[in-house]
Amino acid sequence: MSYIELHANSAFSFLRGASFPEQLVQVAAELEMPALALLDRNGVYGSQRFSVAGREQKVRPIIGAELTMEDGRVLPVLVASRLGYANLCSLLTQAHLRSEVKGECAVKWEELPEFAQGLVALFGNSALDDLLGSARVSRVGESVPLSRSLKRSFRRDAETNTRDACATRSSEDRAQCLIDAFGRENVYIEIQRHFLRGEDRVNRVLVDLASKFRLALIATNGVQYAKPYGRQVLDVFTCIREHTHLDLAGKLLTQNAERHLKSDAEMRAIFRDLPDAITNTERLADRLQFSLENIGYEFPEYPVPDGHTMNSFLRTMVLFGAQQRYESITKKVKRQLEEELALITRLGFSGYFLIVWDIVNFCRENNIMVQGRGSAANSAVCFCLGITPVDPVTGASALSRKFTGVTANTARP
Amino acid sequence: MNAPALPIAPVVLPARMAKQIERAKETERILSILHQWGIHTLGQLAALSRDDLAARLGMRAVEMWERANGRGERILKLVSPPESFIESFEFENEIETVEPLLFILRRFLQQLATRLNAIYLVAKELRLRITFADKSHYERIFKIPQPTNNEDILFRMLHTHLENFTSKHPIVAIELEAQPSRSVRQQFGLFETALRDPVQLHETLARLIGLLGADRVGTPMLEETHRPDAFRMEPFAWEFRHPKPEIGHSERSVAKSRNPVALPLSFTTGSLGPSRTGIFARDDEERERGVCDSTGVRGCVPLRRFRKRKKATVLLENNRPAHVRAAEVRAGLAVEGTTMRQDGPFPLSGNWWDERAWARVEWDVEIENGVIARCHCDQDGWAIDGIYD
Repeated sequence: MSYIELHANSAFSFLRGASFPEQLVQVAAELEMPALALLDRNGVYGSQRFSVAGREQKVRPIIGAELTMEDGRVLPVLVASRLGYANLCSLLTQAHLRSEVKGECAVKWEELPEFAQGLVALFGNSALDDLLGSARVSRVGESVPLSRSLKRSFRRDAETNTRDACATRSSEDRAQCLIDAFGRENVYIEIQRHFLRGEDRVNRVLVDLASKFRLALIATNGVQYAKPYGRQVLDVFTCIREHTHLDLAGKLLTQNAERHLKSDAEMRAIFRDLPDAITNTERLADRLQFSLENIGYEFPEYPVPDGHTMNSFLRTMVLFGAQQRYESITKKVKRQLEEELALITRLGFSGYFLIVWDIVNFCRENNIMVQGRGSAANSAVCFCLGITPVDPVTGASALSRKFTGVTANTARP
Repeated sequence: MNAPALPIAPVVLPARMAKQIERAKETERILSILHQWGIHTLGQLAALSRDDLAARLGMRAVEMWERANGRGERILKLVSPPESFIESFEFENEIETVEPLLFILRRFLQQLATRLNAIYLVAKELRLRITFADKSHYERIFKIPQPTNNEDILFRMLHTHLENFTSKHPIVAIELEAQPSRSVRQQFGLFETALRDPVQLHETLARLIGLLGADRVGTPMLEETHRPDAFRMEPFAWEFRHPKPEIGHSERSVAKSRNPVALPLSFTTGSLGPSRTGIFARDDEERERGVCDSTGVRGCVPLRRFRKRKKATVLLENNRPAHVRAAEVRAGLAVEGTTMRQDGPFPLSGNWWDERAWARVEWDVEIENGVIARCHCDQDGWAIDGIYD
């Protein structure tokens, strides 16, 4: 079984990652890594580009995110299923909506059980107690400052008292909380080795936790750049994030350039005393079969009168609109409408067109200026529904061109 | 429809200025009335009746009448221009040796000291500016630890600096400026220590700086960097306990003296506070006690650091130090032998953006004689950083 990197930040972790998803995938392909997980901070912004690049380079993309918790700790989660992706997006959306500062986000520990299904949590050094200094040892240059973490903790304590047990208790209690929320088989102890003084002690604590709670160990490298030279970009990003410059950044910068993608052989040499931590990465990756390709997005349904389906109702409304718009429905008009309706039905866009039609009607009734745009301007269906005022029959339709070869996930009029 | 008028924001003038404007308007109004009366000269104004003028035109007109009759008084205030203590000289011939320069400087100091003495001031700072034949300049400021007008002391200060001064181009002009200050009187407490002769110390330091370079004399300050044992030298700073700290020493000195991060002056061997060890532990208890990472968490094994570095010869086996040999690092203590245990490597690097770029790989090794040492390999080869107590 070969090593798979299950914890990588891209440049979409704003100022915390130095490589684009495509660069990470390319290097993973060079290292013959069968899969790679992208866990950007507080978002899945890079997952689309990551997935496309993964398909091209034949590296299976695994989606996840690093969640900033309300006490400043960071919880990496991996998406195992479509439900997990939905839960992750819900968690992130709620946390971002709650935040008063743009770009900041704080997930509550008490929210996890509700949204844990379909997700796999990694319990690593950033989830340990601050007393161990783990955050500062292992995440040099990118962890939350202790003071800010404590402030948040105090504020949270004042607000929620003992309600939030995970945040206030020890590492063991926090591990137990994650097990309760995600299930034992969905919590992994994450170990990283960057050749830093003090990290062995943190890792010993993590190994002890794994043995006490019978959790599986996985090795990751906490990747922040594809190649070692990416460290320089990361240092500059750190300066930008901390509003300082290189000469004054001091210990905010990284100590070495070890947070790059490493090969199976390199990681096996680093974790030669914990071979299971390497083999578990592939076992876990096998479980994480979700990809954006099988996201299965469906447009919302539009309520139609009894006896109608969305397709039939759309056809009715289009033909009714055609009678209003055209003096006489010529063969050319009828052919154009039939072609477009067939395409819309095939792609399952009927509900979407009806929703847009409803929005346009609402705007008209309430004296709100409204106008269709883009390729919709060249659609006879849109013209008949009153979404656009342009008669496309006199010219060629761009709608069929737009929809050719696309799926319902990616195309909308 | 008429376009709305653009609002003009009201301007609030200071009260004093508003009063002056009012006064000017009043004067203008009186003058226009006087012109209407046919009064066009001062003589005609002086010839008018004071009381009638007061009754018709008010007190401002009376002020003007009094001034026209020579009765008004306006007291002059003496404003003396700020005195500058600058002496300068342009040489007819370009100067290439220091002797004529010193000759001129001594003359400058005599003149400056005389002028300062005359107004009971002393010099707290000298600024020397030298102009070269290529129009470039050299400027240096000499802080005087204890302000004085003593020509000899001031001259020695300049002389010490210029002894080691070299330039590519000959000198064409020189300028010396003294910053005046009130003379200092101080009385130390019974248990306070004070420099017996600050000037002498300053002069000695100046000589040291001349011999060693400015970056090698001063107070060592720890640098906030991952580079182990990195420090820089800051110029010495004194803080005299004066009631008014601005007299007698520079603001810079005060600022420096407030900086609490000065490195203890232990230039031989010594620990720089908590060490950063990842050293192996023999058992759990020792592990608890022994680990002290860069965050300075509980339990430390102090590192006795060697300054300067002790060169070592290290034999590697499977890329790990297997045998270490260093010359006698301390009286009676040698770091030599086969390593029993190794912890590492700890690669470190930094300053990749400038010419001070550095990189090293550290190891902690336990040698067969029981010594636990920290060694590293960098561009200069292997060396022993220190030993753990």
